Amino acid sequence: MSGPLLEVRDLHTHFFTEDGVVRAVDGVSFTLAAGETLAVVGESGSGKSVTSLSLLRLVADPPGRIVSGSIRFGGVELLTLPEGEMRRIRGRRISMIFQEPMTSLNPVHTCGAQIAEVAALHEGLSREAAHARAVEMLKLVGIPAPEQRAHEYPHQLSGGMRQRVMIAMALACRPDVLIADEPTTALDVTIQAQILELLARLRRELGMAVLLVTHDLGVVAETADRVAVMYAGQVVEQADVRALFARPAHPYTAGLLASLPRLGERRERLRVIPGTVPNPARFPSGCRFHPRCPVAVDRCRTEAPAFVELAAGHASRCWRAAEIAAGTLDPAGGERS
Amino acid sequence: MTDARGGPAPVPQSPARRAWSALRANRVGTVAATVLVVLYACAALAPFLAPYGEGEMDRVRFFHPPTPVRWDGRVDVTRPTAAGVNRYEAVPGASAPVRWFVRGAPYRLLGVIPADRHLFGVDAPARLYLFGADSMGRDVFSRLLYGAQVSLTVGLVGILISFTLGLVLGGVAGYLGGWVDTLVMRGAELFLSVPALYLVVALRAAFPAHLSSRQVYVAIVVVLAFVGWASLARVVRGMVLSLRRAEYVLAAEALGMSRARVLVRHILPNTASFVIVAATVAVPGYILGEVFLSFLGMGVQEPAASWGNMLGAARSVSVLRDHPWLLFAPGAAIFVTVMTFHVFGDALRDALDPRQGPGGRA
Amino acid sequence: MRTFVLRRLLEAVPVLFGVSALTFLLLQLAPGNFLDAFLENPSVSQAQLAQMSRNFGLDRPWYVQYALYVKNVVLHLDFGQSFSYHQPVFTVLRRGMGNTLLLALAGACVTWGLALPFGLLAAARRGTWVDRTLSLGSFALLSLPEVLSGLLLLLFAWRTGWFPIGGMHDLDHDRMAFVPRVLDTLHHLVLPALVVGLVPLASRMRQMRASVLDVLRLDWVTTARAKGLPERDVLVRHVLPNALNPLITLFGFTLGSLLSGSFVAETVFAWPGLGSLTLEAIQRQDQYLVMGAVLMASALLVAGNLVADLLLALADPRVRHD
Repeated sequence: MSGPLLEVRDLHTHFFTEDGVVRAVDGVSFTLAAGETLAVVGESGSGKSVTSLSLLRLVADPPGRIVSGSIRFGGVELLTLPEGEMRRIRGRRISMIFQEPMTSLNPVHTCGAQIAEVAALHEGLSREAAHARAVEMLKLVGIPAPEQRAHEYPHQLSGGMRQRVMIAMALACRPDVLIADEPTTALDVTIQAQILELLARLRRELGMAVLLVTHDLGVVAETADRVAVMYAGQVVEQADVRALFARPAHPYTAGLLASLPRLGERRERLRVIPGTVPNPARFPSGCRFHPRCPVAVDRCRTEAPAFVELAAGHASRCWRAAEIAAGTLDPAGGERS
Repeated sequence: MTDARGGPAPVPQSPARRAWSALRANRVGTVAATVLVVLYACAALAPFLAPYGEGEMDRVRFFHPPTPVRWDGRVDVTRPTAAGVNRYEAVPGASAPVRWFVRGAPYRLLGVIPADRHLFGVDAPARLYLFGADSMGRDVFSRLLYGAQVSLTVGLVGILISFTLGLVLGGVAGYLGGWVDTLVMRGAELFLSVPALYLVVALRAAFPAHLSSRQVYVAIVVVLAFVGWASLARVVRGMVLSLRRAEYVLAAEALGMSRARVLVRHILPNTASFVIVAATVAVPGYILGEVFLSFLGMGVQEPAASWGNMLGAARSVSVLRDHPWLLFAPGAAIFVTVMTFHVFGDALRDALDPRQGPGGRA
Repeated sequence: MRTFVLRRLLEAVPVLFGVSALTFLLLQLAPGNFLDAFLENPSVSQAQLAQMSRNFGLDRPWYVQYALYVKNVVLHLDFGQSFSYHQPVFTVLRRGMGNTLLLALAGACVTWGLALPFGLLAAARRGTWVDRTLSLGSFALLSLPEVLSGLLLLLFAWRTGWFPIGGMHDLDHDRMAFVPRVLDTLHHLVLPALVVGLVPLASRMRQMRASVLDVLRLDWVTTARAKGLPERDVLVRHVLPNALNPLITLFGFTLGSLLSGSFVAETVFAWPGLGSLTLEAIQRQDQYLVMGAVLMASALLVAGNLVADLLLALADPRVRHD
């Protein structure tokens, strides 16, 4: 297949609430190639979860609605697809797993039944075949005694086990794309590592593309090929994972990286980005990051910067991106000597 | 930069004030409150508003259908026809104007002011039956107004008593705990274990079957109050249980206040908003209690009027078939009253409890 | 599970004792000596009266009478003699109880049968005209008390001739074959059941709607949608079972109002149930029949609550496995 598997262009998803229009996703563009892992990184409230829900057209309506933009999947425009066609994509071609394994499974159905449901739905499998598939999937995601676990209810499993069940459910039809929305946030650290490892292994084995939504740059470094950094409903920087970590071209990315504790480095204190994520009902004028930006200039306060490609595959939404890329400006603040 | 949520600095408001302004802002609630005021005003002014007295009979025209008021404000004089029993026809050329403030049967307004003027009426031999006449030629419209005096107030008085009982018993049970709690709650459970209407009827049977209308009124109120206290006591107890550990209660106790004072001054007022809503929502039940008892002939007795015994008069199929206004008139009155109380209760709940507002969730 | 059932059963015993004491007390308060009425009644045999007096200690103080009553009920299931029916109270009541139960359950079917789909629909179409129409309609029904809806339906039955006006059977019911007999009873049941079922409909529907909305907010609903399930399957297979759980506890509460509703429907439609029996018994001062009837009605209510508790335990796997 030529071109990217999934291509999102200028996506706008807004929530129409009593307090006004919340522009949760406001002009997001990115691409995802077959087999690759793209990490979408951002603080909570940056719009990354709404972006991932928008891909499957699962944003709650009302109050939310995809206002404009384009999502092309394998050359097909998803936003204008009839609902029935869209359903044939969900769970079969594009699957999704969520942040809270404790609440993402239906408490009144057994784990096996919930996995089998997907297979029966999309592949028309019989009861027995669907159940067999469920057991096979449970085995694939590394659950011991899968035959028995299939008959258990979600509340009988631990959080890590439930997330494995979620993954088994998402992968039951071997989708082309897996959207993982903060899959490890709610889990213990040791379990987190196991789940990430599992996802990496399954990606290799099944050859699917993964859209990994996370706020944890540490997770990104381990698993992603490319990274899109989101801030205030927009992608502010997109790059190859190495390039991003080595040469961040947006002050926000730089700030995020600076706040990461690094091995072998002793610092007086962890650097944090001052200020808070802006209220999506009232974004600042100009560049949305300017109130928190250490290198903001007058222009940043009045004019919104465009998303500009600096090098092949590396783009940034900053007026001073060229200076940062040229190495003349330290995005964390201060001129470079 | 202006803050959209800012506005003028908030004036400190008491909860009652805040609820009042919230209620005023609720259009449906305001309408319901207005309707209730009108209904009760009608009941209070019944003798003046009604063209005829409560028991004023017309010995010629039984079961007279509602008389239309003509476009020129006159009413035809009618007489029985030979065509059948309880059939009436207009006497050709005979009509009387509907006049305001006519002199009629004497009465005492609000029980004290002697008067004999009625808001409107027609001169005999014409008769104004806005909602028709009953089996004894009495004006249904007038009886509806007189009946409102019983049917609308029984609920309020009953609620007042049963909620006082429920509040005190539930409060004491929750606050004191121990054997008092056990005793009160077992009692409440007992009363809640008998289906309400069975209890109402059984309680009514404990009174003599034939009572004067005033005694009947008291009996009904007592019965309804007896049936209603338990559910409220149970909920108040639950609220008190959680409130008695509140810091301001502990503070009051630490200051050496008596337990009765703590309960009355500090705990029960905090259950107020719930109690007021529950009471409003419960009023229709009490009104219907009277309606049902009188409907069965165990409540208000003829010739006194109540919406229940007026409805009871429409029980038989032959009456329903030939004189359906006897069902529709009291039926509509009951329906409107009950609906208004429900709507008002809903609005009150929204006003008193911001968490459960109509658009509570974004 | 078994201990749970046993415990709840044992808890019901003192409640029923209390109810019997309460009714007994009330009837003691009632004016006049009910025996007098029967002493002068030629249709009551003196021998019957004498036996009753002996068994129930009618010439003894009230507390002895109560003790004897409880003893007879517990040991012999003897609720006394109904003088107006010339039959043991229990025989009279058994029939009435079955009829009331039938009516109450039919009413419950009406209530829940309408409340569940409409509540689900209202929640799924939240904020649209469908939602608003349903809520308005249920509000109107809520404000239409049983006495009124009963009379209106009676009028309807007479005007259309589609339904019988009252009673439980046609005159030739006894000569019918089994199936027509059942159909005949059902035909008589429709209108009273509507009367019983329509009043609680509004609040049940509202609760169902709220419950569905609560569930729709949960993460696994998104999971179900992300699987590609059609919205109808999401609602029926995933949302509905979860939304039902909180409503099952309400089932017990509903039973109380259903029984009260049946009382009214029985009197309007001359349905021969416990309510009509109670009224009749009170009018004829048939003391033991009144007591028995009120006691039976309470027993039904208590049993209903017990069933509701059991249903809740069965419906929720989290409860079931503990």
